Amino acid sequence: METALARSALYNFLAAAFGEPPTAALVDSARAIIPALADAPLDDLQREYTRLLVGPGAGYIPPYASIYLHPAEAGKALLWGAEAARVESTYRAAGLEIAPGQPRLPDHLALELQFMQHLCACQADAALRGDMQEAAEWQARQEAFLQGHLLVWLSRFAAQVEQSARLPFYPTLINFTLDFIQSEIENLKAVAAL
Amino acid sequence: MTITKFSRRDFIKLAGLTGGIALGSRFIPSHAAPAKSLASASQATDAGEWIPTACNMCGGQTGILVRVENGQVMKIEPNPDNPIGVANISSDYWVWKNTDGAAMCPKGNAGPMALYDPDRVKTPLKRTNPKKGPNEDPGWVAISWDEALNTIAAKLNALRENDEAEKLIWFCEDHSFKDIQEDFCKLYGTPNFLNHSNLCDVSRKAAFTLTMGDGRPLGDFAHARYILLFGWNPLSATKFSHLPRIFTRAIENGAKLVVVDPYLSQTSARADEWIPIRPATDGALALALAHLLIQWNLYDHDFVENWTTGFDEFAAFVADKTPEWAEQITSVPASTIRRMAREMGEKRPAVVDAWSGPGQQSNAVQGGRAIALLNALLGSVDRPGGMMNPERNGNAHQKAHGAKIEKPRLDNLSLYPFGHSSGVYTEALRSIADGSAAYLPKVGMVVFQNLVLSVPGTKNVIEALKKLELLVVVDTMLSETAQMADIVIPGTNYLERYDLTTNWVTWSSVSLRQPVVEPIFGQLPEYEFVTELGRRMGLKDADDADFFNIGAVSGQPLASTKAWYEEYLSEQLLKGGPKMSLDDLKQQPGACWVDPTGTRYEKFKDEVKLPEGARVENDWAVVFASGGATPLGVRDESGAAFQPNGSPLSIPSDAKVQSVPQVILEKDGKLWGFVDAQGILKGADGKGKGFLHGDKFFKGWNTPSRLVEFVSAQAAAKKDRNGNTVDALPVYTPRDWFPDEKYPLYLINWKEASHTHSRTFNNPWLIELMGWNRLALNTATAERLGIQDGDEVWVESPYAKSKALARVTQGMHPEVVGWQHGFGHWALGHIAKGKGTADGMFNRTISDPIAGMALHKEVCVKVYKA
Ligand code: SF4
Repeated sequence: METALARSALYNFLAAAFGEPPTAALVDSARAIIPALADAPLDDLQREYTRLLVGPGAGYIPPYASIYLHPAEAGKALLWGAEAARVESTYRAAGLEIAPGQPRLPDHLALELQFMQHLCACQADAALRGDMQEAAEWQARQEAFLQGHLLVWLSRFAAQVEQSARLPFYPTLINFTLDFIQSEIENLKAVAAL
Repeated sequence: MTITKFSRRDFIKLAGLTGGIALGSRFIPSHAAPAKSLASASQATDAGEWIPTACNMCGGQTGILVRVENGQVMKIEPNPDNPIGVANISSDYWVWKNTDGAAMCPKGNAGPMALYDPDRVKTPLKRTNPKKGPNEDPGWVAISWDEALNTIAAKLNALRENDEAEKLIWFCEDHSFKDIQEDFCKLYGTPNFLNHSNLCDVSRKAAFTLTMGDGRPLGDFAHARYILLFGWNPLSATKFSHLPRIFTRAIENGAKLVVVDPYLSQTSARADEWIPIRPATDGALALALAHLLIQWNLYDHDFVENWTTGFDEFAAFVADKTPEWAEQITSVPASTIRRMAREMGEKRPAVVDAWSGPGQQSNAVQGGRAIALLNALLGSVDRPGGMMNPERNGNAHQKAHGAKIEKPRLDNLSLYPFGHSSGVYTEALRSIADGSAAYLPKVGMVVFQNLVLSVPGTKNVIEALKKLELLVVVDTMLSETAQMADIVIPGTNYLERYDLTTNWVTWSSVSLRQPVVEPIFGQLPEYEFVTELGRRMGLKDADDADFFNIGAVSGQPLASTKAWYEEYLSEQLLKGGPKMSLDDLKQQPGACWVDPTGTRYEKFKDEVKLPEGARVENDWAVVFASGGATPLGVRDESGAAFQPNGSPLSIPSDAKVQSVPQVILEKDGKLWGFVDAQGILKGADGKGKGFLHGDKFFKGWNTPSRLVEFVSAQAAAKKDRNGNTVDALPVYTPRDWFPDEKYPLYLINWKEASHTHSRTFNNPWLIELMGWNRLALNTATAERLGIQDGDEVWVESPYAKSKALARVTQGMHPEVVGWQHGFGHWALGHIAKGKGTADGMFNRTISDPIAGMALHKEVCVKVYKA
């Protein structure tokens, strides 16, 4: 339970990191988590965030799964591909819908990380209630989502972010995320096998 | 790269470090309970639906049906229940709706690619690099909607409190959410509200208004037997999705199609005859045709005698406009002109139309009148197979009541004698750039417009935009204009928003554009952005009412800006032709209301009846305020005067008292109207209603004489922007800029169905259709210049020089080179960037002196091998 709660907090942090302009608090947390993170003034980081993850324009690497999972002719991929619809139905099956006023695109990286946060929190909650079967269900959803979806596109996205970045902040963060998710999958498997 | 492995213990340690991050609120619990297990997790999808709406990939507004499944737009098909499409006639439309109406252009099909373009602007952006220009990185930073709205509201309020409201200049599109922007400007107090039309067709509007009292008549091509087009490409140009099929039907019925154009356009290519002409000489050709129609007695005597004015003077004027005279000017052989005149005179009904080819030239208005008047000679005005005066009883914008604005407009619109309410972009921007403006604006608001690429004289536009203290651009894309902005607000795609549209059809109709999906980035549609801004600024109307809060129908404050705007549209529908609410309109077939009366021909013959029990006085006079045309009241034979409502009037000393043949009173004594000395029937408001013909009043046309005017007294009473008297007759005047030794070639540009203006060039489907604007030049010209097909060439004018790729063709007048407009982006998106050559840089930033039409096509260049 403790682990699930911790993982939920980490996913929440990552959702904020890839879904909102960096704030001083976020940068502090990031530094604490990744001590190797190079220093950069906050306004440079905000420009970098906008250039890489919000766009549009030169340097923009769209953080949407559809772009990487629907191999259209190079440079012609669209938002909201079929994968986005699948992701949305996964959210619905887990009892969630996108909050009013939020962007509607289901497959934004931040939304997917927030979804993981939610699944972890539900797992922790079920465990707290002592419903280990339900906890296991929530964990199975996590595994399916990470392996069947998130990890598949994230590595492609990470490679492009690394190429386009002007500051090491986001490549470091995204590599941390990749490592984290890889470890997640191994750990989840190990736990499931117990 | 080494992969760091995290253990579960690491997670706990790391999680402890994320304390400062609040829990994200990206989700809410869904209405459906979560599936209990993965196995039963419902992957069920909804069945999907077809939602009727109106296309806005261009201003054509074609009715469409959009397939939406699980919140995602899958495809778009035509909506035959919506007749909007240029020149449709009701009797014809409903018979042919499944063919004529089931048409969309390629841009309409490509709509989803625009909606889901990854290069869209997703959130408000703030510039951090104060330097502006095509080569400057703006250093964008994403900001919240609150920050964006509050920054703009604060700046605008500061201006207004400083009594500088006029220093807001606002540019908007003309078919999309224009009304609310106009209301905002009114309540804010700036006279500088401009919109797109003066980049498009205001010279055509002026020409046709002067001749037949209608700014946008539409040809009844399906029923014509002879169709003559000047500089118009309806089978391909931007917004005419239904016309290819209508023209095909006309041709199958034996119509002859003749196209006058320097360029062999798609329409010219399918015509019976293509007449290459020297640019901007179309008016001279039209005068020679008029000369022959009159000389050979091939004009419609009955129509000319009964329904027009000034014919004799016009006939005398064209007496020397011989085909040989026109050949010198136009390069069209006299023998061809003779054959054209013979055919058009004999093959009736014949219709003559013109658009931007001759329209975006300095002599466009008078040339346009000469062209329009051919319809009068042929008896083809508001008749089957002729130029129709459309009925426009659509939605009715109830304009906000703002305080009177005393400050002058920056664009000097009032100095353009037949200027259009859309203003004059060129004069506004040029005078800001060169500092000659009456005052410098401080805030610019540009909504859904790419001024940098669409206004002639790119450098001037950029200079003007640089001078603004705060430039806000609302757009779906980071256009070249958005690159100059201080704040960019993400716009909506047309599939995410509302609009009402009532253009482009010959009978009254209103079609609905509605959001088929929610704005995909959670952004405010443009109208809600304006509403929210108005709210934050606390804008009130002249009656101190809280305009942007109180619903127009319910009269109640509405918290939701969306609900508020829905009432705003409902009011326009309830007070306009449809007399129904927005919700009712959604239920109409195809979400489109059509007036059951349908198209009516010969509306000019409508009799104007006096009200029941009306009293006609023959010895009374009308009292006008000095200089005014609206009556203050009337004076009876005894000298007693009355206001229009019947109460006594004391006549001001400087009033003008004019005896008139008839003063018409309602049975309760209120003023209903009067007949002036020229036999024109006018209402109590002084506006023309009809004219006396025999012993009846007929409606006629909305011209001062109520007739089709060969000679325009209202034109002769005015001076143009250069101070020259406007000719009463459609005199051919050569345009200002001619080829010379240094710049020996005319440069023209055009539009094709593959793209809209300068905004669709990041659309992968459309760029596949047309991915480059090569410079077309005639084979003989190319040979003389040593240029071969595909060569890289320099194009140079006094204002710019740029590279282009040559396309050598027989389909171009030998003195002319030309290309498709809209290419040459250096921003907009990764697909658009770097394709083709921009055309605006070669030009001056000026307009025609009568209507204020931007002169996109009055350019001369030299071309040489790169
Ligand atoms: S002409 Fe084409 S782009 Fe324009 S409104 Fe019609 S279908 Fe849409």
